[in-house]
Amino acid sequence: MRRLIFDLWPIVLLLLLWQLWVSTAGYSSIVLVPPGAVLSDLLHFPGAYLSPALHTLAFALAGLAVGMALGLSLALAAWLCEVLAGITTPFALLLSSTPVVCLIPVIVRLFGYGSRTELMAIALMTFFPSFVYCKAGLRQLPARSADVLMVLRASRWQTLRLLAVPAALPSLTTALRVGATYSVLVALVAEYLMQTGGLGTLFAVTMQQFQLARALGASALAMALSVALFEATRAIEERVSRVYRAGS
Amino acid sequence: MKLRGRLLYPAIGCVLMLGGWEVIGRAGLLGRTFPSLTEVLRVYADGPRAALLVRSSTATLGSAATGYAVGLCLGAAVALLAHLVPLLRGGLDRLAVLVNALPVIALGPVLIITAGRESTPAALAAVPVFFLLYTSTGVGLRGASRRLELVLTTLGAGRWQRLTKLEAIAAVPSVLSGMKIAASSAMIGAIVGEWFGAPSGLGVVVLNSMQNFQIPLLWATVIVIAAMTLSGYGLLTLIEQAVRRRIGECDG
Amino acid sequence: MASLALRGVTRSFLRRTRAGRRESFDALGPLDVQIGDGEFVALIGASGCGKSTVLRLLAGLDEPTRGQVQINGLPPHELQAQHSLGIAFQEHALLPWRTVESNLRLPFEIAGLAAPEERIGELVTLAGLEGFEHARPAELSGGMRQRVAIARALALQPKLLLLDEPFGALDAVTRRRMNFELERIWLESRPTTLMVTHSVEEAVLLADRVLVLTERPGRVRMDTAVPFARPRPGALMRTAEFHRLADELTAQLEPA
Repeated sequence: MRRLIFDLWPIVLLLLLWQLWVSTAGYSSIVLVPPGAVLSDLLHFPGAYLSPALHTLAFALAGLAVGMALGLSLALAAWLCEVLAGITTPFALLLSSTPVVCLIPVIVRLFGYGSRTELMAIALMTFFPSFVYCKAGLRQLPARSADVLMVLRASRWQTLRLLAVPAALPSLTTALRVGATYSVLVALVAEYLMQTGGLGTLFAVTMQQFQLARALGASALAMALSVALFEATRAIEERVSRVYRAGS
Repeated sequence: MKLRGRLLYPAIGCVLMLGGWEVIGRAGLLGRTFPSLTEVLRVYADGPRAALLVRSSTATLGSAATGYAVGLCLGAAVALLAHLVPLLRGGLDRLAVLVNALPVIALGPVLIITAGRESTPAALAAVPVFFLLYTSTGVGLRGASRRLELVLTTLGAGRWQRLTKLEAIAAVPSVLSGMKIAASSAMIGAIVGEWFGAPSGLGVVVLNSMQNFQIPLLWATVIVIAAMTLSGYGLLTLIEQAVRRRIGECDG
Repeated sequence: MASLALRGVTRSFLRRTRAGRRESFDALGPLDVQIGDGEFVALIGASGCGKSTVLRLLAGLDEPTRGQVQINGLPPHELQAQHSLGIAFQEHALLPWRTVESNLRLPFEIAGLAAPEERIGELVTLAGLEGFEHARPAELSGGMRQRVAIARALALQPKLLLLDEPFGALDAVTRRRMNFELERIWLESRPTTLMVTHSVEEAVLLADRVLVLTERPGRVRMDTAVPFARPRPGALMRTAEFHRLADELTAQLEPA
C-alpha cells in the first residue's frame, strides 16, 4: 500500500507544477485554471458530469461488445475457411494502417451524424484488434494437440469447440484490453465531432464557452474512465491467461 | 504450391476490394458519401487539391517528426535515468501506464494552454511517443540477460561499463520495436492536435472536408495519412533490420 | 489387437535447391516392416532419419509417397475411425484449461462415447495420480503430465499405441522412473506398441524388438529381438547381456 502511494509522486509533481504555473503566470481564467478549480467543479457539480460520463461509458461498452463479437465471428469464419482468410487480408491490412482517429470522420460522413454512428465507429475500431488477435489465438494451440485430436478423429467442429476456441481465450482477452483503450478514445472523438452527448460533447461545448474548469474536468473524467476500463480488462486478461494459456 | 495459394488469395482480395470500391462508389450503393476509387484518384491529379495535400502533408509531417524526435530523446533519456536510479522507477512506470491508457484527445486542452495552438500537434505527438519509448527502453535495459551481467561483473566491469557494453546494446531491439509503434502514435497525435485550431495540416483538411461535405477530398486525405503511417513504419522496419544485422541477434 | 505392415513405404518431400528449383528428396524408405500382435517395438536411429515420420504414417497423420501402410490389413484412417489408435508425443499436449480427469475424458467426448466414472478412475490409477484428479497440468511435474498423456492415449483401449519420444523432455532420473512406469502400464493391456526413442537403453529395457534406421533416407539397418523376460527388473540394466545388446545397437547408430 505504501508503495502505491509513493509511486504517485510523478502525478503529484505534475499537479504541483500546474498549480505553480497558474499562480505565477497570472493567466485569466479563460486561458488556464488551477487544478484546484477543476477538482472543485467536479465535486460541486457532479450532476453535470454524471449523465455525460454514463453516456460515454455505455457507448464505449456497447461498441466494445459489438466490435469484439464481430471480430471473433470473422476470425472463426477465417479459421473454418482458409480462402476467406486470405481474401480478407488486404482489407484488414488497409484498415490497420490507418490511424484510428482519422477513420472516424469518414465513418461520420458515411453514416451521418447521430448516436448510431458513434456506436458503429466504436464497434468498427474494436473489431479490428479483435479479429487480428482472435485469428492468431485460434492457432496458438498447445504443442501437438492438433495432432492428438486428429488421431482421435475429432471433427472440424469438435476441434474448434474443444481446442481452438479455449486456446484463443487469452488472445480474446488481450483484444478486449486493447479494444477497451480504443473504445473510450473513439467515443470521445465521435462525441466531439458530432456533438451527440457524452463527455466528448461536454468537452467541446465547454471549450467553446470558455468554461475551462468544466472542460478540463470532462477530460479528467474521460481519463479516469479509460484507465478504469483498462485496469478492469487487464485483470480479466491476467485471470484468463493463467488458466487458458498453453504454457509449457 | 502452398505458397502460391498464400499469395493468390490476398491478391484476389486486393482486386475484389479495389473493384468493389469502384463499383459501390459508381453505383452509389452506400450513398453519396462513398466515393468511387476513380473519384478519389482524381483528387491527386487535380492541381489545387493536390497542392493543398502536399502543403498539409509537409506541415503534419513536420509536427509529427518534431514530436517524434522530442519524445524519442526524452523517453529514452528518462528511461535511462530510471534504470540508473531505481528509486524513481516505480513512480515513473505507474505514470507510464496511466498515460498509455489516456485517450490522446483528452490531453488537448492541457497542451493548448501549455504549448500554444501552433505547437499542440507536435506536443500531442511527443507525449505518446515519450511514454512508448520510455517503456520500451526500460524493458530493453532491464532485459539484458542476468547471466551476461554476472559474467561482466566477474570480469571487473564497473556500472558504467556494464551499461555501455551490455545493457544499452541489449536494449536496442526493444527500443526499435517501440520506435516502430511510436510512428503511428506520432501521426495520430499530430492530426488530433491540429483539430484544436492549427493553421494547416492533414488533420485540418480532414476536419474541413468532413464539415464541408467534400467527400473525395476527405477520403484522399485519409489515404495519404494511411500511406504516410505505413511508410514511416516501413522505413523504421528497414532501419531495424539493418541495426539487427549489425548487432546480431542476442536473446537478451 | 493389431498387426502392422509397412510395404515398400517411401516418404518424399519437396525442397528448394540453391539454384532455386524444386526437387524431391527421400526422407524415408523404401521400408518394409512387419509388426505382430502385442509386440512392443522400439525404433531408434540418428536424428533426421525419419523415425517420427514412420510414427506419423502409422497414425494416419501423414501419407506415404509410395507403398502401403496397413494396420490389421486396413489403412490407418480406418483404425482412427474405430478409435483404436492411441498416441503420445514428447510434448504432453494436454489441454491446460482442463483438469487431469477432464483431460482423460477428452477421447470419450470426441468419440461420442459415455465416459463411465469407473473407467476414468482406472485411468487415473493407471497413471498413478490418485488425488490429482482435479489438478491442472500447470500444477503437475513433467513426469506426471506425461503419465496423463500416456493414460489418455490408452483411454479407449486402443489396439495400437504410438509413442514419439515420450520421455525426451524429462531429466535422466525421472526418465528412468518413467520407463518402469510405462512397462507397468503396458503390462495391463499389452497393446501393440511402436515407440520412437533416442535412448538405446530405453529401447532395450522396454521393447521386445528394436529396429535401427539408417540416416536419411531411413531404411531398416538392423532388426533385433530383445530376449529378456517380463516384468524386467531394474537390476537387468546392470547385466552383461543388457550391455552387450545396448553396445551392439549403439554401434549400429554410428555412421556407416
